[in-house]
Amino acid sequence: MTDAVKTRYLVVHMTDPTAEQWDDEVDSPALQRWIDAGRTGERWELDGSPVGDRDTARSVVTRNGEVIVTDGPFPEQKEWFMGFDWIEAESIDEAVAIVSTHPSTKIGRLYVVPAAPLPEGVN
Amino acid sequence: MTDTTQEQYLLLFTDAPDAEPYSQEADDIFDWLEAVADHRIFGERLTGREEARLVTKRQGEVFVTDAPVAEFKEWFSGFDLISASSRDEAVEIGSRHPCARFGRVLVLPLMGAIQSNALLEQTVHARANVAAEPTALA
Repeated sequence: MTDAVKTRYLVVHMTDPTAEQWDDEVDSPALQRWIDAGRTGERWELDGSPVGDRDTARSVVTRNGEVIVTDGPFPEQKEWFMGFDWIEAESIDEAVAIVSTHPSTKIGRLYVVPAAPLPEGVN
Repeated sequence: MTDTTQEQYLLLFTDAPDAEPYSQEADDIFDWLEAVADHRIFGERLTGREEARLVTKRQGEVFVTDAPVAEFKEWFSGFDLISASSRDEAVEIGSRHPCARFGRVLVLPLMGAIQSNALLEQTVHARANVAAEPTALA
């Protein structure tokens, strides 16, 4: 926790129609190992969360001052959100290595998106 | 930190092709931060897709794609984790965020509440420092 140069990454879990099926026997223990590693590790301990399915989501925009709310399921989007994690790593390569053991890589796809850099002097 | 009577929502901000062009003058993010301080747990701005990676595993092999193009074509500009008493309240909070004008806000209910922990505390602390110096973000 003493090194200053860590970047935080939003890990977005998404479905993928071409992905493989969840296999309880293999994937449940793999997920548990991943969560445990995060909880006991020193670098990436914020628990993420699954999110609700398409029907429970809303899309919100304001256009010309008017708020427009659209209910799920957003059929035009083939991919949908499964959940997110918030991790910390020294590099994008380390972040990729951390998430590569998460079963969401198998049953869907993971986007690893760095946080925009904080201004100088803030940590 | 965690109020169990409240639900938690991920507000995910993306680009949108029909949004108005970004204008720093019209960006009232600091008004929003102040107005929703009681609901906001933490949030961050995110980098562009060039900095991001897509990670998948197929038949046991890990594939890493640089600068991925999401199937839905839009890209993430940031997120906030908020608490609200209902989805309608979460939608209302999201609708006042400047990204509702300059992009799109997705309101995603969390299946479980995020508990406070060291990384979250650090993040909140860092953000509080930034909020104290709004010009630093310009």
